[in-house]
Amino acid sequence: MSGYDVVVVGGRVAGASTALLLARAGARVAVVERGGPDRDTVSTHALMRAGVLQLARWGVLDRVVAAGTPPVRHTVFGYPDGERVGVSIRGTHGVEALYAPRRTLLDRLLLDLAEEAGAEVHRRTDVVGLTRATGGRLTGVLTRGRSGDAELSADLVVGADGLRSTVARDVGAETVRRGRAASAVLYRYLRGFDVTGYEWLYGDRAAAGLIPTNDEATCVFVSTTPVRMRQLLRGGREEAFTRLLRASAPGLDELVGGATDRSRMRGWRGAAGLVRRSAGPGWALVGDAGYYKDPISAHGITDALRDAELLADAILASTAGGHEGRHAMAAYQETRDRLSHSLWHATEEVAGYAWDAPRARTLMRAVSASMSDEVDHLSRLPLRTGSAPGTRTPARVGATSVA
Amino acid sequence: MLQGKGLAVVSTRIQLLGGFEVVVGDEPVPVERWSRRQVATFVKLLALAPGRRLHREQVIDALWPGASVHEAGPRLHKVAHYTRRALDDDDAVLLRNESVALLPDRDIEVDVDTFRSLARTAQTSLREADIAAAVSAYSGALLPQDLYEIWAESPREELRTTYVGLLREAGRWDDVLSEDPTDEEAHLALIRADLERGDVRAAERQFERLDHALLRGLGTRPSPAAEELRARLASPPRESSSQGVHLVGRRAAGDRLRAAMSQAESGRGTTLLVSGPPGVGKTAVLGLAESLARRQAWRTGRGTASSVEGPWPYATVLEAFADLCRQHPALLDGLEDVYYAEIERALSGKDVVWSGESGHQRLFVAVAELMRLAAAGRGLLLLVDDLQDTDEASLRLLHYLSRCAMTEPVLIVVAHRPRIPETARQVEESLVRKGAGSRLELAPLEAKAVRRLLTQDFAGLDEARVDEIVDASGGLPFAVLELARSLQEGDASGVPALSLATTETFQRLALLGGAFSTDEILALAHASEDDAYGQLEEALTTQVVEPAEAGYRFRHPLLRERLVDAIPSHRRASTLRDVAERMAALGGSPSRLAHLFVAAGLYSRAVPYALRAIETSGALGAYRDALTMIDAVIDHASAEELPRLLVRRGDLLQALGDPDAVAAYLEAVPVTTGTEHRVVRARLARAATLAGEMDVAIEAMSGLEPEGDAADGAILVAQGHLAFFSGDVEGAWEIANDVGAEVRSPDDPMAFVNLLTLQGLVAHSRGEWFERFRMELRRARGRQRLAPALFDAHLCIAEYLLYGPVPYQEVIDDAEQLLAQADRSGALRGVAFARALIGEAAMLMGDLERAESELTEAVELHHDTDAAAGEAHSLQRLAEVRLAQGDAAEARRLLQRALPLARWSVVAHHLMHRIYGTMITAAPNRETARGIVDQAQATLGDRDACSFCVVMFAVPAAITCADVGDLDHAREFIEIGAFSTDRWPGTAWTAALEEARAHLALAEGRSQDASALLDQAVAGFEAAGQPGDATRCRRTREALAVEPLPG
Repeated sequence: MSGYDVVVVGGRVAGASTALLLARAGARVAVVERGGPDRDTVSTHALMRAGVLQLARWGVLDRVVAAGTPPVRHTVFGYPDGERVGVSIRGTHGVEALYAPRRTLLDRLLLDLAEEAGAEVHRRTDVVGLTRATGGRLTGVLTRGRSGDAELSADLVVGADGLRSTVARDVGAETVRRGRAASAVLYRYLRGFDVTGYEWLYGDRAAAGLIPTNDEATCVFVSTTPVRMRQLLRGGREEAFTRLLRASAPGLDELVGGATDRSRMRGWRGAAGLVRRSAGPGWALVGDAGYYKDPISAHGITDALRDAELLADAILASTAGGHEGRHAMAAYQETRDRLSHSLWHATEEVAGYAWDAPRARTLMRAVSASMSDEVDHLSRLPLRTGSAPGTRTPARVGATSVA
Repeated sequence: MLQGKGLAVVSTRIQLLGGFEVVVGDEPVPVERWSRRQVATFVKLLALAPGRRLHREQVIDALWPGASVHEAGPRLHKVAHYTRRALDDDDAVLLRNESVALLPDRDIEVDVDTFRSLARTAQTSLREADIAAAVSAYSGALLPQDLYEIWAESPREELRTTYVGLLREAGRWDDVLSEDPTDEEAHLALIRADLERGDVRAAERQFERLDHALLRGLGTRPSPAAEELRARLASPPRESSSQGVHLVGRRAAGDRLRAAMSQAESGRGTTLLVSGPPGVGKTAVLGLAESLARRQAWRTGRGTASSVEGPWPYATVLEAFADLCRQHPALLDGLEDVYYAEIERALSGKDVVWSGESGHQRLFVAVAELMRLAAAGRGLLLLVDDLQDTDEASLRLLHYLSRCAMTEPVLIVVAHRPRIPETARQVEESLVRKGAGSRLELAPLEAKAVRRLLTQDFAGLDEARVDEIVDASGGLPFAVLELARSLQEGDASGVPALSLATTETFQRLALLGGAFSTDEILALAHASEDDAYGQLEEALTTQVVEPAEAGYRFRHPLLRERLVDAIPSHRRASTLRDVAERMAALGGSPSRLAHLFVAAGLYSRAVPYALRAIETSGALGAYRDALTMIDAVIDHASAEELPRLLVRRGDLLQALGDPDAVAAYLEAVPVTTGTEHRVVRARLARAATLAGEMDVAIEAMSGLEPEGDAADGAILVAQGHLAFFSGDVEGAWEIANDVGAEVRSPDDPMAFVNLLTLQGLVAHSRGEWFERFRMELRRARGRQRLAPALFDAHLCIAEYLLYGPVPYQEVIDDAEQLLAQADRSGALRGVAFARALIGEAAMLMGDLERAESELTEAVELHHDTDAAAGEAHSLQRLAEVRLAQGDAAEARRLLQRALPLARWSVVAHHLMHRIYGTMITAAPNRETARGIVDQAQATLGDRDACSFCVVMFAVPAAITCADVGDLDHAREFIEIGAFSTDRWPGTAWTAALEEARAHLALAEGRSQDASALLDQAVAGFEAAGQPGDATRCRRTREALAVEPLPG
């Protein structure tokens, strides 16, 4: 008999959320997270409506707001021809504003809540191997932490360990789609200049984003193709940052230059998007491990929150058996891919940096329409504000999931 | 006696809430003293300021935006002077150092200050009495007559928010809803109160009111908290019943729908026009389309027109978009705020005041953008039912959207009965002609399909009854099902049986339209609440009505029509009156109430509602609907109401470019007084000038001078127009450039647009139009309200090609940029103009294919936006394309369409010459052409013509006259043409004139001269990049076998 129903490898947004939802449903869950409680990560921070909706439906949003995360009620899109378009965020589906919490806040909060719900959290612990049954089915993970090595056996291992997922690699998860475009990004946190909402600025083969986050800081990123970034970086990071700001929107370098407080600059070299097969015998993937697309659409956290619930539901459904149960994990992948399809293609093109103003507008339409589909889907799911009364421990979670 | 000199200190009260009034002692300052608009504005502005004191620059910014301190200084002193006179107090205004103070050191009470003070006390104490005192001190919105004053916007909203906050605190939820009918908190509070009283029905009705209010919002629906409460009430949200997903005998219709969807998915959207007699199943086909679309994960939206509800303009089409956004509210995260605001404004049905702007262009662009957004992804299906009953404005919007849909994954399905209004017929024909739409006519079912339908739904019917139904139903599915149902229930009448009282109630409801609320049932039941609910239950049980999204509706339009038809004729009038009065007591949209009173024959009761509805229609660009409403009630207006109706009739006709505006304004002149009278005279003068009635214009302007009141702008603009059309171009130029800041501000859109038109006209005459237009465009950048006004003004005068030395490819490049900018600004006339320009340039370059496509689109766009001049211009150019394609007959047809449109347009003196010029060229033979020259001269008369555009008539006229041997006239026309080309050297018209001279030379027997002239013409046309014209001259030369001269 397994020690756990599910072991989740990775305790960031995707992993912690999956663990939270499973634990609330009564599953025995362990989370293995390499980092400590305050570890930061590369992120655009921005939650789109679907992401905020998820947090609201799970009863987590109030805590994000209580932590002082500023509400975002307005978005600006800037285009290569200099036009700036304002869009107000209106209250619908119970979402009154968008939020862009620091990852040090959001990841910790979700993991703490998973723990509160009964998940066993192993922090500062590495997964050093996977265990298999004779037929090859995954049966658990081998870990190494401060208290030594351990084996955590489970009916299902969820790989929520990011783009370079160990789980995905070790189980040989097939890549079903691979992107071509990639953004190279520079970003930093700034204080002391006036930003009232998200700003997404598309300029001359470069883009920038202004994202108000916690502690009165604004995350400012610039992005372009990796080739151009390499060329620009020859003049130093500051110079590259300024030139890309200028290329993204007229006057943006001056606006940002007026900031009084700057963090050190960080970067991301870029990686092409990929979609992996999402489940196999004894394993499943969630978050960037299963589906990664370029950060230019700032949709990664939102996707992770969406897929965590899709996966948790699929895992729980698979325990019920029957026709639906047998196909639950396949349905997870189908739903994930269907909801991601348009956004994937739009993101690929945006991350190619070859648009002009009319094309950029068309792409933003596609992005907005795709996000609307996502919200429509998620808003029809039941609320998950806490443990459902009478929830029982699922028997042999995932055992029937994938042949 | 002036107070400053006086001895007694008199207290002064200034009212800004709910209206403007100043009371000194006990005497209100007479209204006439505020006839100078800026004096009143000055007092309002300072009364609103803390301590009634402002920095002078703040005052200048508010009163004369854009004016320098140096320019505005003397104006400030002048306004201060008139203010002292108005208030009869030498010390009423203090200008000292850099500040301006109103009534310093006086005992003044400003109602806004009183309200603010009481509100602060109430917010602190939260005592009931304090709140009540504060609430009663708010006597209405701040300065409701000054909705376009930017400086009043922010305090107005702040005061309103404070007031609503106090109402909330006091639990005065009904009052909160009066301010904002969509306030969910208020609705829920009332629902909870109803439930606490145990009145579940009242709670349900309140929910229905909430649903109804939210239907008028874009993307709004009850919050999760509201739905939770509703679930406790066990009153599930109303879903529209889906009809006819599996239709009997409609395989062909299904195939057409599937084919159209498949075509749309490849990015070639289309419109399907479904027609058929009542009861044939059109709505069911729409239901089938909806079901197919949902299966393909398309988004859908549905709207239905109503013949009698008298809804707000665009209701039918906007309903479809409201439905779409209710299903997918997150779509709005991708819709720009300015577009959202346009759609919301039109959708809300709220009263708005028409400022003279043509707001519909922005609405069209906004709705098209929402359509594109919704179509992104898989596709979008828009359904419009009962088109025969829709308003004109909806038809124009639908026509525009259908054409936009041609390049998007969009399918529009429109259903209507065979008989439709003329505008609807034109829209259909246009769509079919252009390939944007196709017809699908639904015929009655064949007998075997009727039998299948009966077998499916009424399996128990015996063969004899089936035969009976097959015969009696005429193959109409509605009749089939109704007959089967009634036969099954033992009643052969085909009408569901209702008790007498219930029948009468639902007859009254049928007069309201297809849908109604529970409140309306109670209002029209003539029964106790219990009995009314009993009647509703009866109507539901017998399936006469069914639940709708908010309230109820008749299950089929034919059922409603049968109920109406069954009202005995002797009772019809009294029933209509009863319904109208009861609905007025209940409250409703002004448009609906106006329609009800008109239908009831209570015309004078309709007028006050009509006045409000007309303003809203005007503001939304639904000019023709507004005119229809005015015509329905004007003969019954009181002495107080008549002036407003007459003035608005003039404004609406003027907005449509209809010369009847002159007569309308003439009627308004004697019944208006004061500033309004001056405004009307100025507008009359301008309209008469444009219609060529100079005597009327001169008389209207006689003695009319700026006096510092609200009429000044209109007067100055009218003076400018009069000068221009009297040939005093320099005088007009002076006026156009010297007009004061008050007219130059886009806050007075009508005067502003007219000023820009004048400037454009003069600039055109001076050959400076393009530079001017570019300058204005740069100035307009980023100013949302300015851009459409600019296009409105310039484009109606600027629909002529740049005949200067700009290469055509450059014209096309410029025009493409213009098109993009206009599109983003929501200036549809800008888009139309740019397309016309591109089409013209393409035609002159010889690219006939592109010219045809662009000019065809330009014709349609101008038509949709009621821009007659642009439409005429584009038609004329399209006719030239047809000529070049060798289709002279079609060219003549297009020119016949253009002629009446051009005749009354603001640019008639440009367009008429061009149209007649092309008619001459398109004539089937020389004799007919010569006849057209005479006809043109008789029509054009000695009316002023544009000294440039006249060449476009003079050249073909000269050629024709020369060709038929009328040499004197040929020489005369060549002289006219030469006068024009001398003024505008370096254009292709020099070559055209050489061509005319060649024809004259030939007629005079000077072959060698003719040859040389034709060579020059060829060279000139080639240099101008007009290969088609060059070829024609070359051919003429070859045909005449004239040898080229050496060298």
